[in-house]
Amino acid sequence: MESLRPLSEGLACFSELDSIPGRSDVLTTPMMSTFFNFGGLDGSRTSDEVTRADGANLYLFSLLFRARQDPDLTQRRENVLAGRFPMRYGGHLPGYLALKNIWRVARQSSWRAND
Amino acid sequence: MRSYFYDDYGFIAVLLDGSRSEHKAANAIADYFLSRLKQLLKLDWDTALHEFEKHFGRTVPSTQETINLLHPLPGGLCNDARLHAQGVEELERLVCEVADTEQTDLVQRLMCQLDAQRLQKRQLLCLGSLEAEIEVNIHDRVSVWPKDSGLPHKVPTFNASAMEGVREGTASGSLEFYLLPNDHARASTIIREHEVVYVNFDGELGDEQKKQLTLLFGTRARDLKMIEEQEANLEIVVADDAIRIVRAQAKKTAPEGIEQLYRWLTTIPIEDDRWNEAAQKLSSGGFFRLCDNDGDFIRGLSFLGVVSSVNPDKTEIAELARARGFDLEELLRQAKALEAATGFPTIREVDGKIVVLV
Repeated sequence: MESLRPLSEGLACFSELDSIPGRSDVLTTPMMSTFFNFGGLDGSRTSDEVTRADGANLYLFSLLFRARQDPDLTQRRENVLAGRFPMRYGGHLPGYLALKNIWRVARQSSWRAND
Repeated sequence: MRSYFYDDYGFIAVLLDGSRSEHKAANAIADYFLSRLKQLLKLDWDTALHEFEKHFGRTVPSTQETINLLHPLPGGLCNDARLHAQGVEELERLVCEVADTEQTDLVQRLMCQLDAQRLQKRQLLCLGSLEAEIEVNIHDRVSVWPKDSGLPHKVPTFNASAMEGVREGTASGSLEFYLLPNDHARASTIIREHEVVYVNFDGELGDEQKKQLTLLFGTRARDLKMIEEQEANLEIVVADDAIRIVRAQAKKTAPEGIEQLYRWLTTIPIEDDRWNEAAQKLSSGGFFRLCDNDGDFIRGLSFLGVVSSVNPDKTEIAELARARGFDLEELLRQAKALEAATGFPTIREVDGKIVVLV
């Protein structure tokens, strides 16, 4: 569990700060939850109507686009990057940096890893 | 990535392997984790991800009739079919043991029931809870009164109609919010002591499923207390057993071993022998120290990271940066200087697009 914790924290940070939907047929669980929990409440159309009209990806992208311009999110990313490395501090920094490196390796060898 | 580690039946096989004991088991788990990480970096991503997408969401039912378990298909993420099959077998054996309602030993049977209930709760994600006084009045209205709100007048946080059959009265309890990721649903619930007095679901759930979930909500506080007690009991049992030496050794050496592993993972992009120096700096003072304690650069990098994730266009980012008080060209210059000094890349500029690597 101790070995996996930084990876779990890194995955959570990655979902919040970097992940976007792309050309993949698979929508990750956090993206699904974001869509269903914010979709129906945003604007006048329901999630169902939005999915039918535009597909989940466009709607999610517009939600994330707005969220990622928010200064609060810059602050959250700064907190992760300025965090401590040793495992006793939760493993957010080592996990996030490790995840970004693995993602980079994956993206270099397959477009499927973009989202 | 989540599936690569958390849906890995090979890992389950190693974790539940009863043939290894004490330090051999601990070493086998550590070795397996390390080998999976190394495999990940050498993975044929295109083939693996194609297979993964093809099989995503598909499951196979358990071979045991007494349990209702669905195993996700490995879909390109498993490279040892024998170990995968062993993991499926070991997990089914464990779940059968927990689900066995015919055990003669009463204590054992109760413990198994609680374990089974806790396993079911893995589908629930508690987003937050508020400890409060819970009152149900004679009109079957439930009110959540915050404890020590600091306000001169008591104002209820929440009011709603109580569930049918709930008795009038006031006691300690909580207001809890849950996410049910697999069902794309949410739930809010009010617990008075261990009794569910109110529940509301948002999402398409069947009546039977709602009934089952309502039963699970009421036991969260009790479960947390029980886990705490079980952990304390485990400490006592371990203290009297020979395994305590192995455990003490693991507790002493594991953090350094894990940190060493992450020092390697976080410095992979450094292609020359400067990785060790960078790893030492990261380890002792974090990314902050690696950047020569330059808080402004980290702030700028944080901004670039979030905005470039949705719009990598350099011209547009430069405009946004100006509006937020950052100088994109200066950040790019600092990133180059950092890379020249440490070998650690942070930003790339490719065809008019900004790519942030950390």
